[in-house]
Amino acid sequence: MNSRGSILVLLATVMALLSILGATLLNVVLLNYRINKLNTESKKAFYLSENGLNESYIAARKLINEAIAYSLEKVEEEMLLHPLNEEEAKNFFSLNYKQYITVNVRNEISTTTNPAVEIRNDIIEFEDEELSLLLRSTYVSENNVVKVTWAELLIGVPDYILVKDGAGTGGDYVEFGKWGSRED
Amino acid sequence: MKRFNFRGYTLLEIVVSLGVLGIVIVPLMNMFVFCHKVLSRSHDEYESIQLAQLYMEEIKAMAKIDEENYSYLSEGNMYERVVDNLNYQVRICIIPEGESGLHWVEINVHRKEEVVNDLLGSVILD
Repeated sequence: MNSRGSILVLLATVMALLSILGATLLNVVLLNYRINKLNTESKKAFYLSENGLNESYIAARKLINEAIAYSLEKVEEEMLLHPLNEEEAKNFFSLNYKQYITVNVRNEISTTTNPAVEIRNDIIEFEDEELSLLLRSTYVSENNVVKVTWAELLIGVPDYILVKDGAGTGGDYVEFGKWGSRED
Repeated sequence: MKRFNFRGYTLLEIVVSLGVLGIVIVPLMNMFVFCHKVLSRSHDEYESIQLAQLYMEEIKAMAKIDEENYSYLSEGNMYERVVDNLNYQVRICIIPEGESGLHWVEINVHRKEEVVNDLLGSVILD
């Protein structure tokens, strides 16, 4: 049997095996790195998306304070024209407050920046002295990782007697309801 | 009875094949070293973001700023905490945004003066 040149075949086989092993290892390692990088980016995007909901909450507080001031002013104006008893003043205050909130809430809370916050309600109206808003915050990272978070924002109606005496601020009449990363 | 007639390799064959193998082995070894570095970086990436998330969730669960652990720095108008955990040094800053109640949370995970990872979020604290 002539074995001349067989070392070349052996060498080629060893080189091929090592190369396959190396290429596979490189692939697996790079994939692992990419997965971990995306995991990091996804977590960062999640917290920035949640930040959109927090900013909406702060905007809602500000809006409530404005609505209280507006409605108190309206009650005072009305009282100059027609004297109102306590119950009538309370109802008039509540009516103006609800109107101010429902008219302005979309403009004040929704944002088109990143994170973008959207109010998903078709109709915005108070039910049982409470307005429930379904908020969706979307954050898109530099590498196009998209993270969406949802929250229910509940806005209440302040007591006229309390706010007239300066008690109670925006923060007392707004709270988060359900909160999560899914609509339901 | 002699079944095989294998007379071994010549010195020249061995020298040439070792030479060729040497040329191929050098970049292959470099690749293995590179793989090890990437794997180690990948491990750091995972571990550091888990650590950052741990502290972020701790802050999100707070009703008010825990002043025992977070010290107030008047220069930056912020609260700071530095913790050593695993092989990392974690610097956590809580920065109030005006009087609104919104606080920014900035977490930097370091290892030997080098920033390995960072996480940014916000929390509402009154």
